[in-house]
Amino acid sequence: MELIVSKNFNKKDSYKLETYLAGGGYEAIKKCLSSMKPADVIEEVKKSGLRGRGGAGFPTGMKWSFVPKESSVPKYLAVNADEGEPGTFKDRLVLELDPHLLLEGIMIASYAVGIGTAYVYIRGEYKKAFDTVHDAIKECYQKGFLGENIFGKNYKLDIHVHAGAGAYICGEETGLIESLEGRRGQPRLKPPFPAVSGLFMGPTVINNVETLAFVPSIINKGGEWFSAIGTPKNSGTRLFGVSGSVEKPGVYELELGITARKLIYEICGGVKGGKKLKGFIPGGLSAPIMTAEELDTPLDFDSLAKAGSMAGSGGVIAISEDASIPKIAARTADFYAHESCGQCTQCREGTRWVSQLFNKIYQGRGKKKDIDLILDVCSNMMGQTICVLSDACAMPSIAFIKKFRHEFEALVK
Amino acid sequence: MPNIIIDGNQIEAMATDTILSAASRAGIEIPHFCYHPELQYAGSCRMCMVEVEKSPKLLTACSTMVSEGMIVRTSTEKVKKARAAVLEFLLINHPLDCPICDKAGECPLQDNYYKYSARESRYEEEKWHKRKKIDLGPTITHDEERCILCTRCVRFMQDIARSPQLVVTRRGSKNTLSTYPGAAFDNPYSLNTVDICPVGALTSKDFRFKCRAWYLKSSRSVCPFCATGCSTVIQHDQNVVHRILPDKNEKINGSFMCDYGRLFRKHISSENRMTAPVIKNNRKDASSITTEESYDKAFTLIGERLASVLKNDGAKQAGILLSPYLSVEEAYIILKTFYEAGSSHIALIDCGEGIDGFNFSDDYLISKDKSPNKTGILELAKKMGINFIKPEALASAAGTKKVRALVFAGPPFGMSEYYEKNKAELDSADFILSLCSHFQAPASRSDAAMPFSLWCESEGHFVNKRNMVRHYCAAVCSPAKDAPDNIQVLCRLASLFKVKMDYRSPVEVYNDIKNQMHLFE
Ligand SMILES: Cc1cc2nc3c(=O)[nH]c(=O)nc-3n(C[C@H](O)[C@H](O)[C@H](O)COP(=O)(O)O)c2cc1C
Ligand code: SF4
Ligand code: SF4
Ligand code: FES
Repeated sequence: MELIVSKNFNKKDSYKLETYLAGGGYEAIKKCLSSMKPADVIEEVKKSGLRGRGGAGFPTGMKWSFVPKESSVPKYLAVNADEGEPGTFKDRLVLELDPHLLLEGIMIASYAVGIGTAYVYIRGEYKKAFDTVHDAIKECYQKGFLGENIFGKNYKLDIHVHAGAGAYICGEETGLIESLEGRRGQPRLKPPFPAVSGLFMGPTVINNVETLAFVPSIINKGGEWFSAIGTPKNSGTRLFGVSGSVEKPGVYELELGITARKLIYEICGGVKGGKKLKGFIPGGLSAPIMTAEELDTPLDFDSLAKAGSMAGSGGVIAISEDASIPKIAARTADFYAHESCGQCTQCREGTRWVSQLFNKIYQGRGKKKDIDLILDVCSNMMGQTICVLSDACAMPSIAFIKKFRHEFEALVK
Repeated sequence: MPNIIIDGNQIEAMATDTILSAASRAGIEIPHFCYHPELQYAGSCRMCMVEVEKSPKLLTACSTMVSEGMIVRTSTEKVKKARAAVLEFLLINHPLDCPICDKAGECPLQDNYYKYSARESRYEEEKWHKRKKIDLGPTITHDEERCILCTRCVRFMQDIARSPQLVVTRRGSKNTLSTYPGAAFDNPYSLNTVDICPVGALTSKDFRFKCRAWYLKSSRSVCPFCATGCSTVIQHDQNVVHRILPDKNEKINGSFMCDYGRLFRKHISSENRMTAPVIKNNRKDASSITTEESYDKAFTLIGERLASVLKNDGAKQAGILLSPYLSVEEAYIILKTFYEAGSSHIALIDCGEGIDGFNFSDDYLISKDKSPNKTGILELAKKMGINFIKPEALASAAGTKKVRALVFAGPPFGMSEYYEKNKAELDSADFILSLCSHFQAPASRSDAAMPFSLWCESEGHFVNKRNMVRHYCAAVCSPAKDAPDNIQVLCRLASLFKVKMDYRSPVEVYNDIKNQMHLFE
């Protein structure tokens, strides 16, 4: 299989501009600037079937086409490098190992949408990634790849990096916008959608790092080439970040549609210590857990949605037979209770309540009725709030209980 | 004009309507917490969710704009479940200390709970303990546990008071309302946040623990603090005014008013209110005897003293100083009396630069001019052909003995300061009469002082700086027992100057002003 986003990861000094250029870098943006109209670029990306790698799997070309062509106020691109989803650590590699691939993706997206300013919002803990991207941007300015008249063409683009301050909710697209604007990071009510009014009230595109890193190859090789990889409607490869109980955890670029069994057992060497698999979380902590019986599910957007979970951020967490699901459930709910921005009633109060109940059960203080109480509280947290963090707490909580109820019942009186 | 259907009712909404605003105009109640008609919506409490046809999810009525043909249902099973859930969530970390909470009885959380849930809580875990009794600033005490984080107060300060002194800090259920570190919440509009807080999280230090809300009776009134003339509600119990709140008036003050107007309350129940007429037999002699007299006796004595001072010259040697706190009715009688009696020494106190050393103003509600009725009194005088002399000129006239008898009419605000400044000259007058609400200068330095009711104890009209005629009613009785009302006091004064005036009530005076002078219609 041909690597697309991770193709340069193993090169020496992969993060340097000269390395990137030597591998044919920045040819795609030059092609756009010299021979493609913005609408052609969007069309090519639509044709590729590329879907967002940040969480929701939204078609990227379509997202770009929602932005009005004419705008009396500046348009913006916000690159989501907050990477806060537990079990997710793949954007970091792009940022640290191939920042120019991301920058080229940003340039193409900006050109396609008519954007003159882009921001890369990098999670605060990613100090090295921040420095690397920062330096890469500097190199581009020195070369005339950024600023006025990029690549000698009549197009202006500025890219800024911005460090987050450690809030998961700033990865939610409108929370990210608020934070970029210098306010308390909390999601905005929609509508208006960012494509209409986002950053500094301008039409705004928000894309994940990995999503944008696919774009240069799509321009170079064509949308059709990309759409032939993976499965229909789930085209291309993605970076799977595998963690938990596997022999070889790490980030692997694989075609969409690979089954969980193949990923865990063939690519990652199986469960650590030869133990049995109890279950796996297929797309970051917000994705409902799946059991060992569901190992043959293809890890793509539609198959996982059909199975009642989600592809999310591509962070796969393997759980071995000796792990305690109630303990994992408690830790999961703790995370959301800690990260809720707290503006919506159901999320602010519900995440803490669910975390209290799970902890109580895990610590052996729970009652039988608490199990069903969690299910009911969770049902009251779903589909009710400004952003989906509330759902992201409720959905996995419900799955933990529905699929492993016996483990909870064994702990309660 | 989008036509929408809410619960089967055809409603013609306005293009700018949200579902909630359209519903409330049509009299359909949609419960809410964070929504307030005068604030930017936040859409965060999620209490106002309704079902909208073709939308798979419930939508927040406060933030969803109406559109043609929209079909809304506000009390389906799904909506009811969602509301009950929000209430359950709101209460799990709420201290439930209603028995000692000032908001009880007028608390939307309490009311909505009884209406839309009334279920027993399923929460058995440890509640979050947050801080209580926080001294937020000079006017307000904050209870973090009661706060439901609706951000109404935050948005009020940001959008209306335009001084973002309040913020929400921390995250999730640890969220709390706060000022910036070390800063006090001391904005002159701070107390509005107490009114709009849907729980008892923000309480007014002036009202805290004074009275239960359900004992309060309300009278509509006008704020006398400045020339803006905000609409107010005076709330009282057993003849004590406990608080002054804004009354909704879209043309003047919306739903808000300033703190000074509210705290003007302190003047009503202040200890030096006059309770009976006071006569001194020789005001220039410190050891002279001061007596409280009945009204009849007092008027007789005043009549004798006036006659002996003014001799046969009538009112030519009498001067009058009007307070801009007088109603148009009161001012009318006074002006007519002195005009007809032949006095040319008629002056009006100017509070244009503020009173009490208070000269703060802004471009929102607080006017620079601190007189509630200067406009009305000037209009009257103009129509009657009276030229006011400057208050300083009145003092000089007293100093040069051109004026021998002086009358100070109205509350001491602005009047006291004037008196102190011009004491030497004013004191040359042979006789000084004060009609005053408070026994302080000039009343306390006069030969005779008559109790005079404040605006909240009488009926009348003010005219604000934008020429709007503002009516107010008596909310409570004057602390002076058996006091005749201001109109009667003024009519008797007129008779001492041989001017016949027999109004029995402010309404009769107002009718004459309207019908004969064609003013303030
Ligand atoms: C609570 C929450 C946290 C999120 N965190 C991230 C994140 O760290 N990185 C990311 O790319 N997307 C994150 N997302 C998804 C973004 O909102 C958004 O969908 C995504 O950045 C869009 O990019 P894409 O279309 O390229 O996937 C988060 C969403 C939610 C609700
Ligand atoms: S759902 Fe939770 S995290 Fe999202 S906006 Fe509401 S309170 Fe904040
Ligand atoms: S103090 Fe009152 S108005 Fe302010 S956020 Fe809390 S509940 Fe809302
Ligand atoms: S009133 Fe609509 S969300 Fe609070």
